Amino acid sequence: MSVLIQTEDFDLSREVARLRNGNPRIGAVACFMGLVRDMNEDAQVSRLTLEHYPGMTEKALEAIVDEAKARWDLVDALIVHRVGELLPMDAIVLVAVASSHRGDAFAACEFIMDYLKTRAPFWKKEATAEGSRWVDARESDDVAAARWADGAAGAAGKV
Amino acid sequence: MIRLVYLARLRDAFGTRAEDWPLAGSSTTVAAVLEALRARGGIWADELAPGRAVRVAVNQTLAHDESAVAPGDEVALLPPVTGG
Repeated sequence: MSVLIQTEDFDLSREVARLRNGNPRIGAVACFMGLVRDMNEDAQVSRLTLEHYPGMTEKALEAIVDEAKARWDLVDALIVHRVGELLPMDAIVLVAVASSHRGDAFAACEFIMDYLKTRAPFWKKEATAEGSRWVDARESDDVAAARWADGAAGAAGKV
Repeated sequence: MIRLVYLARLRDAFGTRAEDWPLAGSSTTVAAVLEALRARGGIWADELAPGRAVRVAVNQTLAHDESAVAPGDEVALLPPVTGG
């Protein structure tokens, strides 16, 4: 498993190749990429600054991957999250999950993103024409994460 | 002594990134640390008012109100996260 926090961009093909690591047991890789949009809450966004809490970020992401591995049959998972200054259309985050079959890969990929959104210590600050502002957390992200709570309807765990 | 760390919006609001905090006694709780910071009044009381969505991490792990805080610990105050 790997968790990478970096300022530089990532290459999807290279990251997936690294995740697969020549393992012929892998029959499915699900990937999610998060990108910077040029618009948020009706304001034009010219730049995004991503801050994190070094030391906690890595631990939090590793705990999320561990939890995904406990819930689904995964071969491996990878999270790459960028920090620093980003521009519209830049990639922010990559989650890639490898498993034998697609069901586990799809579900675990969505679970990791939902938990990352609500548990990993990253913060976005947007620069707009009106100045810069810290992005507010969305209630819809909490709702998405809550779907995966133990026993909650809609969670696609292997239990 | 404990190390207090303020992240993102809270760092901007408080105008400081981190500070050392003398600890009376051998240990305390997250709730007691927050109460002491609230007692400073002003922006501290506003930002840390009960009901505000501030989370606390002790030694880089999310903690609860009752979590213990001991000398040498790093206690971080986190506004709601917005990564991904």
